[in-house]
Amino acid sequence: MLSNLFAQSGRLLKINLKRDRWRLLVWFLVLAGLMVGYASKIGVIYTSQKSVDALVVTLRSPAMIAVLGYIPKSISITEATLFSGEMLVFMGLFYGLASLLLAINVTRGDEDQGLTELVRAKSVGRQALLLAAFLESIVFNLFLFLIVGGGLQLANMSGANTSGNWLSAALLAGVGLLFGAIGILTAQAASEARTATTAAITVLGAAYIVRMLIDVKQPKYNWWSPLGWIEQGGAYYRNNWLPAVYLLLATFVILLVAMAISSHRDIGAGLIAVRNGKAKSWFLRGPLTALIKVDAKSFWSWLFGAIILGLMYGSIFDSITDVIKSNKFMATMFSTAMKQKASDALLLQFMATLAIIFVIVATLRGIFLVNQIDGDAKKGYLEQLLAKPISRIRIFVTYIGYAVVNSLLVFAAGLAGLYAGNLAVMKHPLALKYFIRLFNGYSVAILLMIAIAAILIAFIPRLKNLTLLYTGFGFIMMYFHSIFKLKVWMVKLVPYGWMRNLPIKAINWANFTGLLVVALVLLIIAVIGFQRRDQITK
Amino acid sequence: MAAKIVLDVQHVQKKFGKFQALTDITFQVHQGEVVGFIGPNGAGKSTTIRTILGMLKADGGTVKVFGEDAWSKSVTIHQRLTYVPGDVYLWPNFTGGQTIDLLLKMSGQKHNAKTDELIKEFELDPTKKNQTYSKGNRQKIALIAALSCDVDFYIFDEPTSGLDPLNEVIFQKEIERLKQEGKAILLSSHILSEVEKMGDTIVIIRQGNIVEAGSLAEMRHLTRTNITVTAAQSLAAIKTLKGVHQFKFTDDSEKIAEFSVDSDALQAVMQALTNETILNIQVAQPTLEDLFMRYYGATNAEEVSGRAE
Repeated sequence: MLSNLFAQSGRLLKINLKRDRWRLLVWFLVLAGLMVGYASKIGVIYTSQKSVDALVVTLRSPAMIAVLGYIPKSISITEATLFSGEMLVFMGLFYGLASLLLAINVTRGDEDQGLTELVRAKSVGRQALLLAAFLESIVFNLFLFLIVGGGLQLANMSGANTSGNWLSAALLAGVGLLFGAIGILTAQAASEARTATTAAITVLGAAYIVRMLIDVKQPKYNWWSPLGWIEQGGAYYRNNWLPAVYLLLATFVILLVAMAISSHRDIGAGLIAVRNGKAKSWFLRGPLTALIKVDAKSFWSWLFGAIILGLMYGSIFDSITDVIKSNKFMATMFSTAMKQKASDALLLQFMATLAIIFVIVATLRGIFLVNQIDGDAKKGYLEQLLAKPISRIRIFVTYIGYAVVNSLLVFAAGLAGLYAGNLAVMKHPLALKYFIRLFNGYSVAILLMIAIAAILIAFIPRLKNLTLLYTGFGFIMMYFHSIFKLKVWMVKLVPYGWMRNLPIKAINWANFTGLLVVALVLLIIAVIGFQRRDQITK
Repeated sequence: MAAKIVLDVQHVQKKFGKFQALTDITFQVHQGEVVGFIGPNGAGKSTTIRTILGMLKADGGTVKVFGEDAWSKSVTIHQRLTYVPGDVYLWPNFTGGQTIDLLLKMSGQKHNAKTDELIKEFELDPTKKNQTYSKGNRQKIALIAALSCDVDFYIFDEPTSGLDPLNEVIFQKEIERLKQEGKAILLSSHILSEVEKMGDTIVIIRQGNIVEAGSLAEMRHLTRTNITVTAAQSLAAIKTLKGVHQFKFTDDSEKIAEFSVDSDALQAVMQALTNETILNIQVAQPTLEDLFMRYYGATNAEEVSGRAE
């Protein structure tokens, strides 16, 4: 019975590990490198008490709590507790992302390619593929646990203790395992890898946003999100191992559900059967309409996702201005107008930091669409288009144009959500002009990022994911430049840097024009490059 | 041949990095002609076709379709041709019917009576979503869209690899119709019987080179006729004749023999046979399979000797 279910899981694990070795290694180096690297350098970055105090003030601002998590007021600030407050929740997001992507790739990704069918025809257990995927997740996270835990021991931060070091490593590995299992679960429920990935990332995003809302408003309720469990562990000050145990328990429960679904479905199918449709469509007529129809599900997901993200952040605007209301000195000495001005200033400061999240989300949407040119060429969709009397330029411009429009729509949707949230919770909401200023200013920076993606697709498509790395780099530069004490020229290494301090300051139109010109020139070069290269690349 | 040249491929070369995919490809397709383009897997069939379609840029040589350059004039050219890829991938979440109409519209054509007729003949359910079709059904969708196009040049890359025999017959009938209408057809395949039935001209490609091109009748002169003879007495005398190959007895008394004869030696061998008391004789035309195996085998032998040097 058991052998029928799990036979050859070990061998499959070995094959998968061999095949995924580079992917695993890159994630491993990034995750472990960030954790251990930062831990060993934290003492060098913050040398004086003054700089530590300034950092703590920054970290306790709502914008930072929203992204990095909550640091309890009662604890004493040491290098170790700073590290735990700054790194663990944020890294949890990436541990979760890495594990779920890996798990979906080995389960649903293989199934979509027909590999699963080939393997299942051998004397391999019914659940062996699923188990092998989970074992791979265990191997990956166990290694991370050992290396990060050991690395933290060696980093020897002041205020660190052995239990805290290993708990930090364990909590993150636990989050990795949990989202690996969630990836396996969505891979069983969805009918193809892309849907499974979207579903799993949505769960991760929801966990992160729920934690954000709770952290900003009522931190003690952060049990409601698995990412909040990291904070409940309180590495270095509370050292509570219970959340780590809960993460493991949750992982196993989800794995059991995944196995139950897997045993009830056919190979190549999802839980929900694909329904028949109409034989005719009035809508479809060419490459653009085909792209729009294929992309319809993603289109609405991104748009609604952005609006919800905006609403969530907008709904914490009142918590940010609470400081002014609760401050007795200000309440008595300041006039209403002055209080309003102070409140607006605080909000604008918050928005200036926060805006980059919406910018990045919008950029990612555009880059994914640009990179889809290469994906669709590999999948064979482009071959059908290229055999028609449709020029190469038209196909390229269709994808790029659609990407630009979508990026701007997602950006606008996010800001609209933010504005609506702001209207809903604020007695004196922030004026619309600030939101429009943000949109106008950053839209050219987003355009430039899309142009860079287009250049890579036109000239070196196999390096297309570099644009994603660059975007990630851009986020870190923009969001954390005050924490890392970055110089202005460093922030300007990314297009967003030329628009920083929006909406506090007005748009610098010289910078705006510069970004726009560079973006347009790059786009033209990309079009020419694409037109000249082979359309089907190996 | 007075018919107009539709496709003219001259000394085409193509490299992917260090890999020489096409070394020297030269052949033509004329109006009203079915050209069978055959070769083993990985010989360069699809690469050649993609170059003809302007999806890949040739590193050397010229490709002209309707007298225009395949790479720079692809849009003009594609208005007059249609293509069915070897692996048909279709946009997910479209139905089969929607896909057929889209493919037709993009060719500047419309869903017509022929389309409906083909959907019926191929027994395709056009309301199913593309991702639920099998390989054969996906191929049918691309074939229906292509066959109901009214253009001058049809390119099929291994079109029947997923079809069942009944559908294959429908396809062959359609090719015959197009030929009667004076269209040009390029049919790549490794299914030899298919090309043999439909092709007027055969082009054999191997490792990026055209190893043979000509009509099937012309090529048969290049190969051997298979003969099986049953005689009243021993046939040992035949074995030593010039032009006789692969001679073997199928019984102990040496009265039944199988062998192949070079085309130019056929006359002499037949005369020698008339001296024997023949009880039964079977003469088989060389099949494309034989042709194919000859080139396939020959190059393999070269490779072996090449390695020995």
